[in-house]
Amino acid sequence: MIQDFSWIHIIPILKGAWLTIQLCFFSLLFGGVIGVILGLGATSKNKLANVLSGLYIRLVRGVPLLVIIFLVYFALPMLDIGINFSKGFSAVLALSVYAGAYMGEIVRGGIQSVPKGQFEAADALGMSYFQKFRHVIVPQALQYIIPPGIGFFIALIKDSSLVSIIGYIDLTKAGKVVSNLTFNPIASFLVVAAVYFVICFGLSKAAYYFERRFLQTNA
Amino acid sequence: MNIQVKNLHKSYGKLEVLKGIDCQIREGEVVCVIGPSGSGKSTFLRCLNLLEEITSGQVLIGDYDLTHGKTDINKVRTEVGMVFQQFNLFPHKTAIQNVMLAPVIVKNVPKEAARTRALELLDKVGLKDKANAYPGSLSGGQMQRVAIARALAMDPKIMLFDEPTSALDPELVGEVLNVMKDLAREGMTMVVVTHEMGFAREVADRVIFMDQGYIIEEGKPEEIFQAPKNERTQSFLRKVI
Repeated sequence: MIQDFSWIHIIPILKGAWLTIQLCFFSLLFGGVIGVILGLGATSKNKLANVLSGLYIRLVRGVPLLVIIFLVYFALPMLDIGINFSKGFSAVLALSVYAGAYMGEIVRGGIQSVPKGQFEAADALGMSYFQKFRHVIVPQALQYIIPPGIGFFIALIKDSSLVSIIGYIDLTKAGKVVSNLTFNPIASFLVVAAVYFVICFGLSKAAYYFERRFLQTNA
Repeated sequence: MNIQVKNLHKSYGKLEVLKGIDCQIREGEVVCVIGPSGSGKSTFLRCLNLLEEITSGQVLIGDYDLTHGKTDINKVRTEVGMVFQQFNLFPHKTAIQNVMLAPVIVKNVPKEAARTRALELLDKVGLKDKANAYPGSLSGGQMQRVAIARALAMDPKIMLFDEPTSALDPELVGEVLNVMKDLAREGMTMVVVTHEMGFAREVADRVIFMDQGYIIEEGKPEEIFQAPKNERTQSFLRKVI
């Protein structure tokens, strides 16, 4: 049964948008944790941590996101490790692995942007590694991490549309469903595009506002 | 706290920067280390609180053996203050926060006590009125004085100065040297890498001349400056004085 495209069809699209936002939020959260660990590893004096972090970052950045999604959704369950690879879980896992590598690179860059003298001053005062990062390095590195971090998050929202391929009902997939239902791909995907745009544009505006305030208070 | 250095070597890869340094610094002594750039004097100083890894040899700070793997280096560093050429103040913290930070987080001094002590120290370096200023709004001389107060806040037994006036405009050098003279007068053990020959002559108990990774000559300032024995010392002093 073919339906005409109408306001009713906005609802599944908005539901898809909500799932996309959730997906990206959790992926950024877990990816951020991975990124911090990798960033610390890549900047540490420990050779092993250095090599492992570099390896992860280079490997993941050298593989297309779509292939990571396929690996997680199709290949990992074959190993039979007793985890239920639902579509949502696979989507978050794949995006987190992907985001982790990029966030790792951003965190590494942020830490290395803090002058060497700051590390030495903290060391000379007898601070532990944790104290040094908590009180001296991280507060200064954040200004180098947050702007590219937000930029990456916006890119991640757009990249996340790839998970529609494994059947996760995100914004893109919801648009496809509506398009199939109404035979009106023009209206369906224009609405989808508009929703992506509003999310991303809104975020970048918020980021700009936040950045200005943040930099002002730190000047 | 005495400092004892025995046959200290430091290499970066194939480049040997310190080629066997032996020296002893007694508690309360003010020692100035002079020498041409590249002589290894800063590297020597930075080995005394392990900002540089020691390649071989032994460094004793009081009873702490820096070259012994089990020594808690952060414990030693609370007893050895350091002042850098580039100040290295924490730019996201005010002057008083810079001074208070390490006592509060490293030594667990209560905040109020740390604040009172920090104000005393800022007063001592003549910057009580700048307590709430950020480093970005201070002059080089003021920043360096805050940095000295920050190091003193840990109540160190030894103070290391790594060319503390080399990055300053000439008219700001005096205010920093005056603070250091006061410290010397109070009996602080000080090791000062410097190009300020006037300061070395006036304040130092002993002057060490280094060149190409060796200690070439050491002695009382009047011996080194008036009657240097070694030819390299003579030629260096001819150039700088």
